[in-house]
Amino acid sequence: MKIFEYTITDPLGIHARPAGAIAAKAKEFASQITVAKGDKTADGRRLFALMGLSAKAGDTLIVTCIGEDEDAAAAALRALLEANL
Amino acid sequence: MDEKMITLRGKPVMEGIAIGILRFSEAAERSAEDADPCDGSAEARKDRFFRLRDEVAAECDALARQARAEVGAAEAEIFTTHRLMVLDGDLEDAVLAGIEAGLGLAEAIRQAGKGLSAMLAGMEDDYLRARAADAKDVCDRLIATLRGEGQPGDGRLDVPTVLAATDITPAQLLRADRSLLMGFFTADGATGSHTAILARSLSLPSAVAVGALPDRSLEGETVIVDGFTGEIIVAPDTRTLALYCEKQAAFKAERQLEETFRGLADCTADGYQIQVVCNIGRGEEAASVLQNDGGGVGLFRSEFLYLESSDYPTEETQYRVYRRLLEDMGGRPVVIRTMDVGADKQVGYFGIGREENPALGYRSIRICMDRPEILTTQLRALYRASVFGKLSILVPMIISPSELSWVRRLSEEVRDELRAEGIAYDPCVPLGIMIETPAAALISDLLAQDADFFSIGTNDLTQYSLAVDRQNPRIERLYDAHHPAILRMIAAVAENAHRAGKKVSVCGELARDTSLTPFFLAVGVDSLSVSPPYVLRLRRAIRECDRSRVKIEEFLNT
Repeated sequence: MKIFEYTITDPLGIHARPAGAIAAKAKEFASQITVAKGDKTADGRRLFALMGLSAKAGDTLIVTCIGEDEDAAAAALRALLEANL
Repeated sequence: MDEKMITLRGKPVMEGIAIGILRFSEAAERSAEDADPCDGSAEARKDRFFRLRDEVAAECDALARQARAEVGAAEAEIFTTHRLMVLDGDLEDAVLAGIEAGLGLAEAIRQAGKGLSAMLAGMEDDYLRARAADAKDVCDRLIATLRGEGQPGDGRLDVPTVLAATDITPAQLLRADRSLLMGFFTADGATGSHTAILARSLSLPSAVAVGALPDRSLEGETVIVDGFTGEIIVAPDTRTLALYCEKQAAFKAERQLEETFRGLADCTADGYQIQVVCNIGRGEEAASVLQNDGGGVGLFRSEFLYLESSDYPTEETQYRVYRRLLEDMGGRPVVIRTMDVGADKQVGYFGIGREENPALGYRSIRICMDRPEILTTQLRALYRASVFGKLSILVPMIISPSELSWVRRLSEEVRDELRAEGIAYDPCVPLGIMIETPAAALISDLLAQDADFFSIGTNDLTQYSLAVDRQNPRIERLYDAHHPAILRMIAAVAENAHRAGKKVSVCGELARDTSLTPFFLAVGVDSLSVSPPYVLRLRRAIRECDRSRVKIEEFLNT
């Protein structure tokens, strides 16, 4: 299991476009990927669930990857978050 | 007078006047129960859903390409998002669960769409709430494709048409024959929806949130959409119709004439050059500045960074926004105003609490002087971004030289820190102040010693000088920005600035009032900052003015 934290700096937060980018990236991996904010958790492959987190600038996300390619998945998602959010 | 005439009122989306034949858009409202076109086994229905989904996703791709080619990249993203929604796992799960429960495919999709849009509609954030319409749109498209009906509202237009619908989708606007689609209005909808954004890009006069639509029996009647006021007039009498035809012609002529001023200098008939720049409140509006031929950004209100976040925006968040704006403006001047939170712009996490009189209360620089870390963070972000363009920093609500010198000291500390950390910044970023109180105007000679430039905020200057609360409708008629007291102050501020060799701009709403353009030019205002759609209108007024013939006294005494 790989876990990392990321604090959002984009003022709009997880809006439709970055949510779509996260979901598309998560689908590339076999690992189960979840994104949590506070007590809300979303499946990383799901656009609506990610938008439903209502995550804004300053919020910290906890990303968990579990599966055979968890290292690669965590690295790819971290890079994606840093570039987009 | 024709008795049929009906007037409705909604929220205006895009200015202009549309006159056309009323047509109701065939929404996918019809109940999905009737004749479900796919009622085979559960497996067959699921199978059909996956094929359907791919078909609609491919269509979204095509729409995105069309939008990119005809409107722009930002508009194309609407359809890229729709594609992701169509393929989303949450939608899939909900549809499959519906099928398992024995629903027909169309009904399963309809219910899934209802659930997802209800989830979004219940969110606190305006942006996400507006996405509820996208979720519904996507599901309606799936159902329409399933029925082999083509897209909702795709019916061909044959006469100049005004569309009416409960809601209209971005795809409908993009696909409609734009030589025949004059405008539209919707019962629901929001001014921040994707449909509204697209309507503005396409310059379609329109209104949303009209409430109830006119009776269906009125289809085929003439209808007027007044995109300035949000008024909809169905079956207008001859007099009303004639009036709006005139308005429409005048607006079109005006627009065409304004267009001829694109690319020209902001220079009076007798050769006095000033600069027309823009007021914006968000980074994304940079595109609109360029599209309207603005000379730069005269006022970027940084408040949105604070208003739209749940905690103080970090240096990194701010840096990204400022850098992007400076890069987008490609070397044109950009004036960023430090945060002006307080008064009518309250932010929960600042913990300001209730004030008897917030307009005269704890706001902007007054908060920063107690909590300097707020300003330090913002200044660090600004100086770091400064190497990516032509930045000026503007500080609001300064009423005495000591406040200004405090800000200067703080900005020196910030630059020292950056230098020590080896971070690059532009050492010559001008530091100016807003003149928005009678106090600042009266001592503008003293303030001009230390400020690099002045920017006159006419909205607050008017409210503070006349003692008229601009949010109180009962005294609205007293809120007169043409009052000689205001104009005298502006003249004095300009003179004091120039005497000290400093520049002065006007950035309040008054700047776009073309009846005052000759006055601003005559007193020597160096730049006027207006919201982007007013740039060409103002440029026209400047170029038609002969500065040497303006009688300043007439403005100062009446």
